[in-house]
Amino acid sequence: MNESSLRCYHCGDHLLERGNEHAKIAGVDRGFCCTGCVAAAQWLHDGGLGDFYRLRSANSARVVEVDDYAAWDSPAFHGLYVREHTTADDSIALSEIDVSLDGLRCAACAWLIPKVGEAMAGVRSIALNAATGRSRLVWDRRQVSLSAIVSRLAQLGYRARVAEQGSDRQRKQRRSALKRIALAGIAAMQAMMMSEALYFGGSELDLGTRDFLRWMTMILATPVVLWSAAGFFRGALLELKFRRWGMDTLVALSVGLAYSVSVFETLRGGPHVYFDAAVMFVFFLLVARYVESMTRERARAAITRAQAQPVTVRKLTPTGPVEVSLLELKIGDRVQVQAGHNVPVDGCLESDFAELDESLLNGEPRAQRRIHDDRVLAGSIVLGAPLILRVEALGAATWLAQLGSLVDQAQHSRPIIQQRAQAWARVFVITMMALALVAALIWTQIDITRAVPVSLAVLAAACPCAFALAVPAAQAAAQAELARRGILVVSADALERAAQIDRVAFDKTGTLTHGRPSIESVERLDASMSDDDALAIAAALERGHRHPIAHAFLRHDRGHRVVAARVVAGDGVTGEIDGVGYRLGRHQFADPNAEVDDGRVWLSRPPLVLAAFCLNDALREEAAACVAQLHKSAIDSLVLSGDASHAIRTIADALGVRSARGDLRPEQKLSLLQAEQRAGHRVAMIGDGINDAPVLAAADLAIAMGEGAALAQRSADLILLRPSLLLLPHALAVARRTQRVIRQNLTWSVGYHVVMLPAALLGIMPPWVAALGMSLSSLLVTLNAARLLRAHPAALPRSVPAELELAATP
Amino acid sequence: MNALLILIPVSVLLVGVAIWAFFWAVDSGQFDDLDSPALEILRDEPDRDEEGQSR
Repeated sequence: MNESSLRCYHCGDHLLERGNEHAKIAGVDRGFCCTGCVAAAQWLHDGGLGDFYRLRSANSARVVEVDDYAAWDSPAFHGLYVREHTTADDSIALSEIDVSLDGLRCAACAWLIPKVGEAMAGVRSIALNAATGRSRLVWDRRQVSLSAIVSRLAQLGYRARVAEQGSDRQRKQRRSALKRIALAGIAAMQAMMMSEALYFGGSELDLGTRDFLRWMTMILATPVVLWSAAGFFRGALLELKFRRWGMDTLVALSVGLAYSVSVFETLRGGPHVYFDAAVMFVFFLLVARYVESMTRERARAAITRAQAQPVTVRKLTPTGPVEVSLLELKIGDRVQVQAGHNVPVDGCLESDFAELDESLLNGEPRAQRRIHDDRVLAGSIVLGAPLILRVEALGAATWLAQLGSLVDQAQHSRPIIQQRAQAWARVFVITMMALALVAALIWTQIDITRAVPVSLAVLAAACPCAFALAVPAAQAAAQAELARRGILVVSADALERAAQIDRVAFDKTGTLTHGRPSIESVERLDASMSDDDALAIAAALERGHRHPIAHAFLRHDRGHRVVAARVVAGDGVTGEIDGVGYRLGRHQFADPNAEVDDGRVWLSRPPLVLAAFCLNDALREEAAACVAQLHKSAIDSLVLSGDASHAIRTIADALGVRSARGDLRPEQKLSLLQAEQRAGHRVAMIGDGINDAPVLAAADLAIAMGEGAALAQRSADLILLRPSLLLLPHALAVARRTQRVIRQNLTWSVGYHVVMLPAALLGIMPPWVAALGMSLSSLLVTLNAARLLRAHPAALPRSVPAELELAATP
Repeated sequence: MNALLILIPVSVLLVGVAIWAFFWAVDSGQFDDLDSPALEILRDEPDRDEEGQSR
């Protein structure tokens, strides 16, 4: 309770001793970090939506300055994105648009957003799909403008972007998959029931009843094989066309064979049918594939959201600058990009000079200088002054978009272990077909009446159903379990590599700490100025910058006008206020006489040093527990950071980390990491991704945290969606369990075939035993994989929101 | 055994009804979002007049 009273009621930022906003919410005095958060909380409470604070399990996004959404009202924008909403009642013309929202932290946001719509006059509905982050807005154009709605959402911390097309297609696919599963599942239950009568009724069943039951089972099995399993047959045809024998061939072969033999046997009244085996096999496989594709879709939704581009740009026309939508731009247009914004297009620089942060594109952490006529890539962030570009490539033609599609391709790849299993299965199925044929030939010599049952038994015993399920079922279960905890598995064989990790390297800023420094103390060196004046000047100089340090000053801004503002990358900022020049930054930068960098931020009016600000980035509460859990599972941790060595030492001691290095440049981090790898260790690197992209890429397993830099996340193998370090040991533990389950499954299915095949070949096993064994074997493998879904609450305590305790006290 | 001749086709028909019902539920969007509705129940309905004020 004490802890939470020192944090902003809305966004959970640390509060300072002074300079905070206070407001009465529901009669209780609450502290806030800034006026934006106050406004958000006030509006929510006044609208009767105060429940939000009790329901949420993660803090809200901090309310930063709200973008200008005026362009969302332009006719051109409406022409491109807004549709007529069709209702049964034609009297009111409603409009609708699909947007995707940033800043969705927990399920309570999904609760809040539709309520926001209800509370605004003229808004008919805001429907949100929490899984994909997409919303459909329906509103009455004459009562409220679109920009008013999206600004309201932005004021609550949810920034809207126009959603890309394709959501309808995805929904259709999802619905169709569900229906196929349902049909297979329900039919499998019923078919199993009747087959049981056939298995155990044995000789007591008169022939008429037996055939009747067989016909009924066939009625149930036919739609399952023809419709639910259609995807496997299509896949098998494709594999046949390209001569790439894979799992679909095996599945189609066993299902097709079991079904057609059963139909034949039913028609001629033969000794046995195998409908139940075919139907159950289809059901198990469909469920495994659905879970797998669902988790992948979730992962992709989170990534595309992070990658989305701003909707509007400032185009320069002969009559002056206008905000236009990105789609209205043409090659050759001139656009202006403000400092701190993403460059939306590839282009040629028209300004004389520009400084860019290209770390999202190539991981280069230092600011890049570009001069007139240089090429500027989409995705870079403008530092220093605004720049002017001539557009050369747009949308899908930009370098960033091409990179994105490459990553998409990589995502569709199958995990290596699955490929290996497929390769084995390929050899296996060909061998089995040959064996069945040989067995049939041999038995025609021994006893011609037993040739058909024996080869059927061989095929049934040979069907690699359990083998085909062994890997994908375990993978899907593990991914579902991880997604439920907020861990996305991005690359296909991340789980396999995660299971082998025995070292974890942490980056300090934003990983072990919150990455949001706050001002701890101010030391004044000049008597003419108060603490607040010094802070206000510093805040004005830092205004508009994206660096975490700038955020610390944000709330002290009193609106001083700054001219000639410049960023000296890596050092600090300069600017003039009321005609006086100031410098803010490292000690040596602000005061040329200084010799050591003490880690504080200094403000000077050269040559006079005015003040020094001590910034503190608080350690995450769960960091020590995370390190302790890793040590318990024999995983060593190390800290590799660019921050000052003595600060890193203190942190490492507090956490119990043995090896910690500070003052590292990215290339030094890289060489330390490679040294660990040469020593035979498998190293995972966890970082916020912006400065660490090359190090992340070199690590055996790259883990990105939170909603950090879009592209850095794309080089990651795992993404922790919630900013909690405890997810890390959990992810590694689940990965280890997954590998164990996969090994068990493979051992079982191989062992099963080793025992069953000789029995079938020798003719001591009737076909129905082989078919039953096949079903039970698939079931066993699936259930074993489902063990991964079991909750392990001890490993990952559910975080109780501080607000819940607060709400309970009064 | 004659009972089976009626009961088993009836059970197959019921299976058909169950499948039809599930298809209808999927098509009407019941399974599109499984996350948000779980929270709906947690909300306390505000008093009528309080809501009236807020609008």
